[in-house]
Amino acid sequence: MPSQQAATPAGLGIQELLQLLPHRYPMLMVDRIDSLEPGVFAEGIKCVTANEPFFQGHFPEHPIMPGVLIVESMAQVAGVMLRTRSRPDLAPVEPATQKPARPGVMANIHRMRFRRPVVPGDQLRVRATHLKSLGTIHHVKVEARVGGELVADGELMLGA
Amino acid sequence: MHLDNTEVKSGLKAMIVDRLRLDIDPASIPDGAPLFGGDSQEGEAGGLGLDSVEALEIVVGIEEKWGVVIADDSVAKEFHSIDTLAALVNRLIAEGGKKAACA
Repeated sequence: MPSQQAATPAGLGIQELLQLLPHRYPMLMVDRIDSLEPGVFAEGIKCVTANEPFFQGHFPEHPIMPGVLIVESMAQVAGVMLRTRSRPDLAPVEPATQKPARPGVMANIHRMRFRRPVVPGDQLRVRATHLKSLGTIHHVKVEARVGGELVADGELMLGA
Repeated sequence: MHLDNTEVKSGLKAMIVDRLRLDIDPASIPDGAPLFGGDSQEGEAGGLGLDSVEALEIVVGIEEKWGVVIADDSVAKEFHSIDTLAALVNRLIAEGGKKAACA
């Protein structure tokens, strides 16, 4: 129920995420935002299931979430953090047309470390913290945890 | 604390070439030529024609190398050439030194 979600400024449900992000199946890599300070910080989750399409080939007998898709999840959480800055009301992007939000771009992946594999059943808890902006380019610190344990961390530069 | 200006300039050039992975000799970057802007072609009049992503790379590079913080409005005002960047670095280091002395 979007009206109830909108009344909870701390978090965002899937319907609000679909309005903020242009990503769709199979590339939407965030399920919910639990904590949000627009332009400053966001924390969200990505539930990793055995049904993820990428597990078909990565790897057939040994499912491991590709590191680049962990980074994608980080970039999407960062995108939500950045995009809500200009729209603290969290109103839909273009409600009249239901047009998807414009794509963001990744300009740089810096100092990314992958500390342990992410497998079916894991719940990725992804944090993005704003470091610096120059015009439309943003430098953010990102990390992903499973059960409190750090699985990946680094910095991204995004055009959002 | 005051750093030798030549040292700051050569440090800036080395950091820029390393961080942006430019295939040029750091010493070949002129001190006064504009670093940014789409009009200047590489090699022409010494301008590097850097873009906004690269500008932010340089901001982060300076902050890491010299342990200073660059304000957002400094980028528009003081990001023109190696000369202006060196002046900015020297000013920030001097300001940081004053703060440290007061603390």
